[in-house]
Amino acid sequence: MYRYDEFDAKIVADRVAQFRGQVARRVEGDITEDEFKPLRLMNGVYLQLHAYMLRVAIPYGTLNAAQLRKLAFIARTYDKNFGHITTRQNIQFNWPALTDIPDILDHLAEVEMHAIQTSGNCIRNVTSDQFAGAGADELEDPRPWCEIIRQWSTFHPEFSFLPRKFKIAVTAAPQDRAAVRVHDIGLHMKKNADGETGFEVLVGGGLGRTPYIGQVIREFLPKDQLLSYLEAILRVYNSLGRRDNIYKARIKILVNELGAEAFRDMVEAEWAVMDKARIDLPGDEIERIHAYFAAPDFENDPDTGDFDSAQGADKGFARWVRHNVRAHKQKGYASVTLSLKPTTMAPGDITSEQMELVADIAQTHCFDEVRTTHEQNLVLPHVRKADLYAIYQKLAPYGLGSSNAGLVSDIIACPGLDYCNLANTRSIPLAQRIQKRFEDLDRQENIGELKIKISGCINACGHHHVGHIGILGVDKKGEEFYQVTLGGSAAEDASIGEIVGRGLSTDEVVDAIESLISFYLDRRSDGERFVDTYRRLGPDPFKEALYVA
Amino acid sequence: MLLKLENETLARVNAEAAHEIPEFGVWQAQTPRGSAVRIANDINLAAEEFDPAGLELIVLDFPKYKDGRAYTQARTLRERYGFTGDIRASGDVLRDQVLFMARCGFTSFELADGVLARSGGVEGFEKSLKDFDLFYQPAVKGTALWRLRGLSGASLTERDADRRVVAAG
Amino acid sequence: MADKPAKISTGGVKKGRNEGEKAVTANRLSDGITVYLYEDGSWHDSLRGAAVFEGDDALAALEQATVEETIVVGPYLMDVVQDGETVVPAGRALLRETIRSAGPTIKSDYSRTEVQ
Repeated sequence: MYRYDEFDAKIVADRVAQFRGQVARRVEGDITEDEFKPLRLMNGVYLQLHAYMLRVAIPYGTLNAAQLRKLAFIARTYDKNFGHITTRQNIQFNWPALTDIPDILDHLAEVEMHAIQTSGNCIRNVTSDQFAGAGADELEDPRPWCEIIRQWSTFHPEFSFLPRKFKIAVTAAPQDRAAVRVHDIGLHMKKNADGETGFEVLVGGGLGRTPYIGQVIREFLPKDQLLSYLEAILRVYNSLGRRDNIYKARIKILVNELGAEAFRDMVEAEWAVMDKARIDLPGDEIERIHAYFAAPDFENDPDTGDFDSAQGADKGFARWVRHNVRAHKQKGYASVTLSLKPTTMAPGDITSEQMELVADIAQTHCFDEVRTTHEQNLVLPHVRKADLYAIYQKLAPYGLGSSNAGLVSDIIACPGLDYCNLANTRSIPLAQRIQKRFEDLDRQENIGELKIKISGCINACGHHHVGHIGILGVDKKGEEFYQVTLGGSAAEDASIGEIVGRGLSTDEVVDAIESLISFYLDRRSDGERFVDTYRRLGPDPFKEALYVA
Repeated sequence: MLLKLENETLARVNAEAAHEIPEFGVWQAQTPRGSAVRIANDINLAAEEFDPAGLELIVLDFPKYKDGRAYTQARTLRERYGFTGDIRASGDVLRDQVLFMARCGFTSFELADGVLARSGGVEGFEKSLKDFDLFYQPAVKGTALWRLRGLSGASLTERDADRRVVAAG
Repeated sequence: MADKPAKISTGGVKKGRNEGEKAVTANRLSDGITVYLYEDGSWHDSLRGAAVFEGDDALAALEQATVEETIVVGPYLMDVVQDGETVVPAGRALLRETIRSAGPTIKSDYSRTEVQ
């Protein structure tokens, strides 16, 4: 993974000092809350219902053990002993005091972490595939390009006060695990006819109250011209993006008002007159950054130990292997999803003790590396198969052994009205009730891949538009109601779910989900996932099933 | 209240206030055209046939400091149209944005009443101007870090001297 | 002053009418904790003993609170009812204000008091 040199370290240290000064000026009354709010947001500090919330950046979801231990320390010392993994691979703390945050940032800086641009109308944390560098299906590891974008976008003087927030995702595998089609810019690494690797550039995807799938504005961008092209896109957006209405300020609205072709023409015109050589990185700097992401020192075809025999002897382990263990490009290795979706915690929450356990395992068994996922889980990317059973046995006592990756209980949920200032309804208790209803693991396994995503308001932080089953919380005269959408997907087959009928009360919604799933089980053909059956049959029969409940 | 950036320091100067300077449309109609113009932030300079010849001062506007269109305008004026005169930021100009402004090519800052007093004076603005001295990306002002990294083998302090050379060149 | 649009509550009711009993609530600047205005002008994290206002008195209290920017952030009027000795949330934002005053509903060790 990338490591700071003295320059990176100084920039982060300068940022902590700057923010410490800004907090002091706010407390003294030299700056108003109106002036301070964007300053704190650009450093990831929100004010939520009960307290401040600090969002810490985990660039493209890659962490080492020391960083994870530091996050555990912060949760224990300054918070209530837990953190929350977000859908953009970051971690947030729900209870820090404003006056402690400069100290927290100092602690983070010690392990090369920060909260820079985790909120605000600027370029946010760049996200990627959680199996980057491990999957057999990828063209190359996309993370060096994420790091290049991270550096370029950090304190970009021209793009720190954009019309609205700006999110970029990069993937290099045909199977899209980074949701690049629902980002402001999605970069999908592909090969051109000459066999060179470059980027397919998608613009204008996004969720929120007006969901759009991104549109391709360039089929193939040579890798070394990435930054100048991004700069051209951002410049057109900064000039022309709407600022009269916060709900129409994202680039997706601009792209769709202009039309993707007209937008692309403007970007290309800007790009044509730009001094690209000044902006694009030279080859040696690209190489310098790539060197940090060299493959770990894998053993050549290591013995798989008790991997096979343990699956025969321990049904729980066999089940975990079926759902949470994934093939690796290196023979004898595997990638593991550590589920943060037991029914006992909020989806994505992780305690200090759990963080420390995962840090220990990563250090001993996974080349000191852990990933966070946009589905709010953790991943150990490179584990020897021989170590898997021992790891599995360590996880269970800490509540990290759930065998539900990709299944009905692996729910994405926003924090909802339990924490969030914008929410209309709660999300977490609903997620927990659905998890409880489908607790039986055989039943979950029979249902197969099913992505349920819950948002507590139209801002769609829980990605409900792209859930196979999406659930949106709405307030009706002070009561919580939930609207169901069906057929969405955030993957390479990206689609926006369709709303099916009226909102359901808190009492109705879990039964309704169960009816939908029963209908799917009755009607599915061999090998069909829920979303496949939905796409084959269309919404009408599912609508009927929903209201039979 | 106007602050002018020269040789890395800010000085208070007296000058015409922004509202006395002709707007873009008025200036375009002038014969001969005057040496100062005020350009609203909804004018997309990339789409204009703009010739800065004869201009000494261009005033750009921040109606609210969160409205960042003038950053792109300033860079476009410097990098595309080669304007070398004074670019002044007017409107909601605050010390926490002054470094971003300077990096995009602004050279003077017109402050609203009371702003300087609660910003720690000129020194406060200068302090914010120096919050960072290393920059990841190129802009009008400030060398991109990768150029410094190219100067291999040197320590941070050793490279500091080189950086000034690079910046000057 | 009665005509002035007051921010009565958030969470679905941005600009309600200034009717009925109100408390002034905000978040404390230093740590963000939810606080309520008391009779003596001080701020406390328990709604139970908050001052209850009506009509112009409520608006005057809110106005006073908005100038205390170095103490609290984002003060507004919330609907309450007096229940014997204590004050409890009421009105359309009942759930939101109940969660604000009592903590998240999902895990009791983060809560100040149990939510029913």
